[in-house]
Amino acid sequence: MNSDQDRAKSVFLNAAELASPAERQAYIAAQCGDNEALRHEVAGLLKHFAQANEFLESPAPKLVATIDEPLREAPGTIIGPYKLLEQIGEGGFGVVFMAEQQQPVRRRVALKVLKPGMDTRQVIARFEAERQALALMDHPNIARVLEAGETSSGRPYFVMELVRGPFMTDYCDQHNLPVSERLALFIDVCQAVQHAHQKGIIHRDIKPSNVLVTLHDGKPVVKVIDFGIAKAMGQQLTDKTLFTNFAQMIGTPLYMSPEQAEMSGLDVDTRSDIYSLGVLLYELLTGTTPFDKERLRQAGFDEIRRIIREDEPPKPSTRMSTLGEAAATVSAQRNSEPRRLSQLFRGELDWIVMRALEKDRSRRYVTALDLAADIQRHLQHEPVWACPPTWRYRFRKFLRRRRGLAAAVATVLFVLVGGIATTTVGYLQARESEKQAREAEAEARATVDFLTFDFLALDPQGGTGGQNVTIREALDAAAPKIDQATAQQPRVEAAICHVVGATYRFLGEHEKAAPYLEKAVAIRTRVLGEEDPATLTSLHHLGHVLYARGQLAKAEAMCRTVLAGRRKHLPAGHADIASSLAFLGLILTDQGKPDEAEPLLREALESFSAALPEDHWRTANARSLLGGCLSAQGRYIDAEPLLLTGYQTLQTAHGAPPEHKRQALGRIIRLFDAWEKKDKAQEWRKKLPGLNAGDKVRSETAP
Amino acid sequence: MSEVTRILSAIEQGDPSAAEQLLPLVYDELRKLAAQKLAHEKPGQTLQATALVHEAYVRLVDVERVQRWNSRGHFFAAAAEAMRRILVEDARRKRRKKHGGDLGRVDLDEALSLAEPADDLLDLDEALNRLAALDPLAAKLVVLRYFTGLTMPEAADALEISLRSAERNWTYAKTWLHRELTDTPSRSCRPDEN
Repeated sequence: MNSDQDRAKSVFLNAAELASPAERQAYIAAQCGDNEALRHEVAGLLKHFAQANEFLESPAPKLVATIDEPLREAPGTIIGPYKLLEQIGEGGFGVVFMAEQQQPVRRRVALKVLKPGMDTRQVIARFEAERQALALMDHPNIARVLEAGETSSGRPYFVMELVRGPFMTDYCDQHNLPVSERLALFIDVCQAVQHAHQKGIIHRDIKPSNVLVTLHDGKPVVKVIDFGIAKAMGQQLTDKTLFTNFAQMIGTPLYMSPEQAEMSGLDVDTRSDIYSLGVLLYELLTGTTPFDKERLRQAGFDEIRRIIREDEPPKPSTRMSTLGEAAATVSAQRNSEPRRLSQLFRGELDWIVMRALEKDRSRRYVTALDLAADIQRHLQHEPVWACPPTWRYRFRKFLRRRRGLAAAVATVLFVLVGGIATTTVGYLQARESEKQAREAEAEARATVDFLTFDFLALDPQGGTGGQNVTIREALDAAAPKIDQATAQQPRVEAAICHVVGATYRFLGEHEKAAPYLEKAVAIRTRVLGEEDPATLTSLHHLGHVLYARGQLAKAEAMCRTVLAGRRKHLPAGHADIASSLAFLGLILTDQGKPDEAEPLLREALESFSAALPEDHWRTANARSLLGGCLSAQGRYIDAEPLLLTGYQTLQTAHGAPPEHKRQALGRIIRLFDAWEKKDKAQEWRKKLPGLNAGDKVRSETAP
Repeated sequence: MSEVTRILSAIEQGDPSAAEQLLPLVYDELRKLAAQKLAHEKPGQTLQATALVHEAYVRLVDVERVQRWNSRGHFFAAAAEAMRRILVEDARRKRRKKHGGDLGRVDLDEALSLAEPADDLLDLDEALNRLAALDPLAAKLVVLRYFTGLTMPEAADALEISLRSAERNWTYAKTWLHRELTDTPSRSCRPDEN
């Protein structure tokens, strides 16, 4: 109330309390002074004061309420052009009837009448705003909302395509549908949602009671209903009506996305529907919702919101193992057994569901189609595209937790791991064997697991004082755990041995590297065959290790084997062939056979130049090697530019192994020595070690 | 324990969300109660709104559990508002009928009798809205007393103000509303807003 009004009120009331008119006049004159407006207002009020004596004094005695319609609409009631036939459903916000229309068309529809307490005009206005878009929807799995109106008692109602049938979850349970068939139906739901999203319509309230199943020619068809209703009802869906009838509304918070639960006015977009689809999928798989119904029911309003926004629900496979007695029922309804289901969920299905349920909506599937596509891939035994993003994602997540590790370490390992997985998966995609493809994925994943949890999980405090830990220490600690981690999965064991060996090699710990690489080679030869790319890679690394130990003859033999195998299976010019060529060239040069080496090294350099970016370390290395070769032949002038450029690029290249940098430097020094340019040789000698393989890993920030 | 009692207890305990739940619930209960009572009466019988509220109070609020008058005050405030809405909705409906708003369709409504002309109530309702914008406390007081029949001391308690303050606000509100309703032309001739 503004202060003028306030003043008028106060003056009026005080004046009214004065007994005699004379006193009143005097008082008013004193209070109002020159203020004409005030005087006028007070005078007006006083005039009515006398008349208002009896006004409102008898509290509404003559007002009568005749509630002239039953609280609920019932069969026979007529609403607009529709006649209600029978009630077919009931929800937290209203009742659904089957209704019949005679004019202008004759048809049967579903009519949902909402409970009182809502601002009907707003509801209908919001619906009308979306009506155009809703009218454009045309999809076999969507039951459309046709119109909205107001009943004679002022309540909003919606008219929809008639769909009669059980909730999708109930249908699946009643028919004991196995997981694969449930997934197939779910894909249809995704496609329906996708269609709506493309028309700019977000459902906002996807849940089992909004996905019905009808039969067409005996086949189940899913129908998603209620598009456009949640939005029309607006905020009320999320706060007031949520709790008006607590028991009945509990369904909604179970499916509400974190951003909806936040209610901060953050605009809700299509990804919110993706989350709800995730909850539905979770329920189709496990028979439960991600958050326990009972727990939410007992929690207060704020607590519920917090749970949805913060708590991580258990993965489907984990949930299966904690179901206890219910597991038997759940499995029976999926035509399976608890353990089998758990295994089925572990891995891809877990991953798919959890991605849809991400708290951070930028991490979810972007479209419903993406979700459907991944499920499709799972059903067809194709690699779920989850794989590559998974480790980058988990790595990042992990790194966020372990900020103590230097970025360099992470990069190295990432590159190594990346190398393994792409090699394995990439090559094996060329083979048609689905079994092998899946094994390769399992291998890659297990390797990442090992690295993430065993290797990088080393407590930074446990190392040599304070925050520092060397890669070496980490490796030393993790290596013995290989047996444990691999538990009789030879491919996985081989993959891990390979990574450990390769990392030791990277660090220059050739003695330590050798046994692991030997083991990797042995297992892979046995399990995958001599010419498998993975076997060859391990052999390649082992060759390098032997070379470093001075066992040139053995190294050469291995290198030739690898080269032969690669030439056989890979297209000409492939980087891996080049890699072997470079290595062989190096060995030959060292054995004093530079003439033999030269053509190989030239070929290697050509291939690398063509296949890789100009500043890639491999290209630079090959250049340096060629330079070394020419140097050995006495062609110093030709050698010098190659050696120098190679070395420079190696310095700045991403991911260059230290030993190659060292060797490149060594070659330059040898060049100038042999060339008898003592000054230059001295200049370059100065650049020697500082660069040590045992680089300490410093934390970037204290944990 | 009735749902209403449970919510009132929650309000007493300081649950911030409980208060919001009260109005829709009380609204439902009042309508239900009214329907029940009318079902047993002859057609044309009437109910006093205030009597309805008091009866609802007796039925729904477990006085043992709801200790503080303050929360009972919540009940009445909610009931007053609910009653107001019920009556206003009835009035609107009646007015629509009068203006042919239903186009002669048959509803399940029987004889609708609003003993007071619908327009008066609707005018009052609108005037109350205007008053509420200017002086919320005064408006609340009117709604509370007019629709539930609380005495002045009871109303003062419910709103947690002194008796004197209640009396002054009442005087002011009555006067102000009277002026609004008599000085300005009646709105009953306006076309129905739909």
